Formats: sequence, structure tokens, C-alpha cells
Amino acid sequence: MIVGIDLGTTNSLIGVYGGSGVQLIRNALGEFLTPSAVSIGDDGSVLVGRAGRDRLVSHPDRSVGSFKRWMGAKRDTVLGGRTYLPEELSALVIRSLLDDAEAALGVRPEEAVISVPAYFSDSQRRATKRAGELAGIRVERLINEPTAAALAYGLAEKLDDAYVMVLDLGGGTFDVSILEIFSGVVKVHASAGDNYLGGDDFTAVLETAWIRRHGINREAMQAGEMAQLRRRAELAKLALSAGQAASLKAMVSGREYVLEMDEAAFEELIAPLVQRMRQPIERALRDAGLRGSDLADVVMVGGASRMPQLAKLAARLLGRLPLRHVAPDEAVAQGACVAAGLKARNVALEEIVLTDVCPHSLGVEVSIDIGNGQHSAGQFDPIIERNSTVPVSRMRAYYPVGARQEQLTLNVFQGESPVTRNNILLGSLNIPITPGVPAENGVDVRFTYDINGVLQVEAKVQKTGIVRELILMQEGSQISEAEARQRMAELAALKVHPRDEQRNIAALSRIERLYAESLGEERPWLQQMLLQFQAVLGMQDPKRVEEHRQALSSALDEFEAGRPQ
Amino acid sequence: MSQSAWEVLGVEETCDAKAIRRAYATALKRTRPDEDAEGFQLLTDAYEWAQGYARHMLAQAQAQAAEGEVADRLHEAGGEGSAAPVAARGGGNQAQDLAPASTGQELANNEVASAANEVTRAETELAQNAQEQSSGYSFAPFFDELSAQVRDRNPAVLREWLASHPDLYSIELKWALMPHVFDALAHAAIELDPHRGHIHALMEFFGVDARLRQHPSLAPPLNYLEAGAWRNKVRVPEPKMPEGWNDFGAAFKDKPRKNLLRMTPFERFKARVVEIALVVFALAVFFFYIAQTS
Repeated sequence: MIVGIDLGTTNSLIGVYGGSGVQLIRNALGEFLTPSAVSIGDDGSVLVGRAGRDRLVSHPDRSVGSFKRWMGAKRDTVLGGRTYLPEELSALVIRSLLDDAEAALGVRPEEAVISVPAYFSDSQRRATKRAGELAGIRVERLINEPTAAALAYGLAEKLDDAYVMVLDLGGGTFDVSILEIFSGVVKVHASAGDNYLGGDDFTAVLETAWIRRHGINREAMQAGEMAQLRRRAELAKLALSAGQAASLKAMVSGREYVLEMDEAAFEELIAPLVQRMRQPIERALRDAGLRGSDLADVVMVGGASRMPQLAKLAARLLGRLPLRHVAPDEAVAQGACVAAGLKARNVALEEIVLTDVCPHSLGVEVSIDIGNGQHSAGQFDPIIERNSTVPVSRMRAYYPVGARQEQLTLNVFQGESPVTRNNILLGSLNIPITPGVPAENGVDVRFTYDINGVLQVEAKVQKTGIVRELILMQEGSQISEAEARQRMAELAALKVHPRDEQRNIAALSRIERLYAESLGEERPWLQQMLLQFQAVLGMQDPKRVEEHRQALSSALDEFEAGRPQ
Repeated sequence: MSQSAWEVLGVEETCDAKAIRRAYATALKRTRPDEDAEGFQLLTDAYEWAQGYARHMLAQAQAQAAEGEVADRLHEAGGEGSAAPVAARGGGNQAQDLAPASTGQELANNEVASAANEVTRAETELAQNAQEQSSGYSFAPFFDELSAQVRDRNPAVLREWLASHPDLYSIELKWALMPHVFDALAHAAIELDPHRGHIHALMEFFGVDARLRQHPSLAPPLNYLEAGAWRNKVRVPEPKMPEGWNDFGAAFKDKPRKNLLRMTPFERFKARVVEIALVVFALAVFFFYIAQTS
């Protein structure tokens, strides 16, 4: 059984491609979206999803969210006395999704296709794969998120002979892809994006505006106050996106501060972020060699694409209107499921072929002869140009600069700048050569970029036939095989609450979160609710617990709806 | 094993982009990218080359057809039926300067050919955009505004102005304007004297990357602008003569220039004395001030 997983910054989903097409799987709370948040309970058990997100407010020092942004970086998070790498946190989310899948399908899936932002780099992709492995599942295939969204969209709409642009604005990443769909082939022509631009940034802008307005010291704010501010800012953003004026209220050391904001002021605030979305759209269109009028559809996916500013910007840039929203939160997951079906050779997908591109240029550092026996070092020479269809393998020969040179250093870079210092160093390789006339002393360098976006570099000395292969060292977290196995065992040993208890835990976390957020006379009421619920839980009568929880949920819904924002 | 692109695709040589696409789609179902990476790359290279070839041939045919007006209309009507998307894109007719790719081209040359096709495509696009631009948008008022910004001598302001200019939001218009902006700026450089910051702000805004920088219609004005040649009162960057004065170079040697950085020992001594005197003076003022206040 192969499942498709959308591992998002804010929410994650899982599903399969079954007999009747894509089938997304609900979690223990009966929802498709599982918030990508992890919290460690007081008893050392792991809480993932809605409970984890609620505990970001009530237990900020034991909870973490938005960790997808740190994927591929060496960044430790300390939760309940143990340090976690970003991929371990992701692994906990994946494991929770797998539990849901097992409950729904009856068998535990052994393989998954995971979606990643198209603009994810090599180390970020490796980290995502590792996250899957740490969760105890095989991950052979990664799929780019906008490609997945377009795959789901193109198949659902039965498009043929059409170019589609997909704008994917998620919680933490922005991706643009242009695809062509013809005779069952889904061919990506260009991908571009920004790995550090997403819905979270728009929330952060509001937070910063609030902090600036009142001259508050951000460092002096407590974690709980910060979490509360973030949540309020999130709600204010949603209201502003819907075209209403909003007021952002939050507490610092017992005093409430308010920031009033209307739509015009909000647009002014986010103008720099909107500007950053222009460049990827332009680049994708230019690389695909198309004009706005050639596109049959412009599809917007990702939770943050609900903001009207993105649609407005795209319409202005492309000079055309038909923008389509397709279930923004689920499109990527559906595409991941289709990719899982493709991987499993599902008969219904026999006629579908998907081809993708590599979003970055990959090449080596060279010295260019600028005449008079002078060389300009530090120039970037791309071997695989950006937006080449993958899998792709290209070879180029390089020659030493001097005749007495005994080794050739091959620095592998990724980026678009003609000078290497502005690009990202992926790794370097020393190749021994025998001194001699440079022109006869070539080294063949072959770059192979596979379908999952993993690069392999091989250098062969023409004269001696020595072959050197580059193992890409990563600036991020690099864990050894043994360490990975140990960490996997440790993660597996972490306790998870049984499925039927998860609804109760989610409800408890919700009361705790509301308690942390509220003030004055609201608090005793919430405390009352909490104590009552705990008393009912203590009776161990599933039926009564169920009834009480439902009553409690509706009471809390009312409470939250009635509270002025 | 050297096959022609047509053999790999399994289709007769054709200019019909749709037929090529269909052949590619059929072949892809046998050669899936996740199963046969090598075969897939061969197939995709062949496809891209064949598409470029078809586009090129079509552009050429249109250029020829443009000579007879009546024939032209008929051809366009026919062309749109057979290969609409490509015809729409390759609609320009500036591709004659590229040698036609030979029909029996081996796959080994495909990379070069597809690179050439890229250039053709970009060129036709620029030419076409230029045509559209001349028909629709009025460039002069825009350039006057831009000149005013450049005269302001602040690249940060220029950058902001560009980013918020309402006309430049349209990607199509922006691309159409790009070559004209740099060209006009190069011509007005003596008067406006744009400095490096302005030029970089413009290049950044228009997304001029390493590949575009070398484009035949962008490279000359950009080379001129980046070199700042007008500051040396040279109107057009001309090739330098090997030595001294034009034709009399050999007869009259240039006067050797004095190295202004090299100082004589006395000059060095003088500079040091002034330095010490300044320090002593500063200290004296400081102590005087301390004495006054305490």
C-alpha cells in the first residue's frame, strides 16, 4: 500500500489512490487537516495535530509548530528534556498520519509519496525523505507541491492541450509552476518560487506592526504572550483578507494593547511581501517561453492563497482574470495521492505520465580566460540549466588552468548568479591529475539529477580513467546510519495516546488554550468546565464521556464565537 | 547508436507541432521517466529539438509568405488550424539570421540545436514584443518619467518607483519595454549620467540574469552602461589603439604618467608631522576642556 502525504508547514494530510480515485483519510478527530504541530505532554507522551497546536498557546515551552521551515538545517528544538531535529518533528507528524491511515485502511502502509515545495533544495529534500524513514515508512518518491496540485486539477478537469499556471502559497513557501497537459502527459515547463515566503510571513507582519505601534520589547515578551499574539494576529489576518477591518488585541504583562487596522493599511503593510511574489511568477513565465494569454488556467492552491491580494497581483501581472481556486488546502494532498497511484502502477492511471523539472541551475566553479594569460576565478558554469526536464544527465569537460597542476578542485554550486559567491555551495571534490599540457588533460564531469531531485556528481579523468564520485556533504544536519537507527528507536519508544482518547485530549487542550488566552471573569468559567470534564473522564464511562464532550464542544464553540475579536 | 530525433520519436519528419507532441506522448507511455531515465532523456531531448525545429521552420515559412500579401493571409489561416499555440508564439519573423537546422541531425548535436532554438525563440519574442509595443504603449512619456527618477540620483527611490509603477505590473508590457529602456538609457547616458546603482536597480527589476545579459539586443547597451564610458567623453565605446596616438603611435610615445601614490621620503615625513601635530592639538583641546569643566 502506497499513501500520498502532504507534509505542510501548517497542516498535513494523508490519502490513498483507491479504486474510486483519490481518497483522503480523516484523523482521529474526524478532520482531513492535521495541524503540523507537536507537543510533549506532562507525562512524556507525544501530542500531534489540533492538541499540539492548542498547546502552543498554553504550553509554549513544550510545543512547536512551523518546523518545516527548518528542514535540512541543523537546528535543535528542546521539548520536555529531549532535543529534536526538524526531521524528527516531521517524523512524529508522519507517524500520526500513518496511524490514521492504518485505522482507516486496516493495514499499515509501507511506502509513501511525500510532497515538497518545488523550490526545496537538495538537503531539504533529503531531510524530508529521512523524516519518512524515521517514521518507519519507505519514501522512494518525492513530488513537487505545485506539480501535485496541477496533477490533481488537470485530471479532475480533464484538460487537454492546455498550459496551466499553478500558484501555491502555503504557510511557509511560495511556488509557481507552469505545466502543459496533453494526451495524458503532464509536463512541467518551469518552476520558480521563494522558500521563505508564506502565510506565516503575513501574520508576522501584523505582529510586528502591533509591537512597533506600542513600542514593546519583543525579547521581553513571554512565550505564552507571544503565542497568544500570534494566534490573534492570525485571526486578524483572516478578517482582513475577507475585507473587514480588524483590531488586534493582545496582552503584555497584564495590560491589553490594541492595534486597529483596516484593509488599506493592511495592504500597505504587506506591500513588500506582495512585491516578492512578482519575481517568481515572471521568471516561470519567461523560462517557459509563454505569455499570459497562452495560459488556459491560473490555479491557486495553498491555504494562504485565499488572500485576495495574491489573486489581484496575478491578475495584474498576467493581464487576465480567470483564476481558479480548487479546494486550496487539499489539492496538493490529492495530487500526492495520484502520484502514489502512479507509483503503484494503478490501472486507472496507466495513460498518465508526469514529467517534472529541476528548479535550480546546477554547475561548477570555473576560472574563465579573459586574455593576456589572465583568469577570472569564481565564475559559475552551469551544467544542468534550471528548468531542465528531469531525470537528466549532462556531461562537460573541464581543463586545468596550469601545466604543473597536480589536482583539480571541483566546487559544485546551485544558483542563478554568474558569480559563485552569490550561489550555494553544495560540496567539493578533489581530483588528482598528472601534470601536462592543460588542453590534453581534461576531466569529464557528469551531473545526474534524478526524478526525486537528488543530485549525483561524477568526475572522470580522461587520461588515467580515475573516477571520483561526490557525496554531497550538507551544511545542515547529517546523521549517520547508526545514529538514524538509534533516533528511530527513540522516536518509536515515545508514547502516543490511544486513538479513542485523542478526542478527549484535544478537548482538554482546547480548554487549556482558551484559559491561557482569556482573562478576568472568563477564567473561572473555563476552569469549571475543565474540572467537570476531568471528573467525567475519571468515571471511565465511554458513553457519558462522549455525551459530555459533545456538549462541551458546542459550549466552547459558542464561547469562542461570542468573544469579541 | 546514433538515431535521428525523428527515429527516436517514431514519427516522419514534420513541422506540425501537434503531431510531434502526440508522438512524444505515445512514446512516453513506453519510456516512463521513473523507469528508464536514459531513454527518457533521449526522448525528451529529441522532442525538444523537434519542437524547436518545427517552430523555426514555421517562422521561416511565415517570413517567406509575408512577401506576398494575399498568400500571407491564406497561410496564416491554414497555420492557425494546424499548430495554433506555437504559431502564436513564433509569430515574429526575425529568425532568418539563424541557419536552418539540418533535417538529418544526429542526436549528439541536439543540445546545441536546442540551445540555438532557445535563442531563436527569445529573439522572435523580443521582436514581436517590440512590434506590439510600438503599436500600443507610448514609450516617450514613460521614459521621461524614468529620466526624472534617474536624475534624482537615488537608486533606492528608483527601485521603489519601478516596483510600484502601475504600467509595469503587466509582465508582457514589462518585457516589451525592457530592451527599449536600456537602449534609450544608453543613448541618453551623457545627459542623465546614470550611475551603477541605477543600472543595477533596473537590471534587477527587469530580471536580467546571466543568460539574458548576453542577449544580442541587450548586451551592447548594457556593456556601454556598465562601463560608464560617457564619463570619459567617449560617445561610443571604440576599440582601443595598441599604443599612444592613433596612427602616429610608434612615433610619439605617451608621456609616462606619474604615480601619485608613491611619495618621496620628505613628503612622507611631512605627512607624518602634520598627523602628529593634529593629534597633539586634539589632545590639547581635550585636556583644556577637561580643565575648564572640573
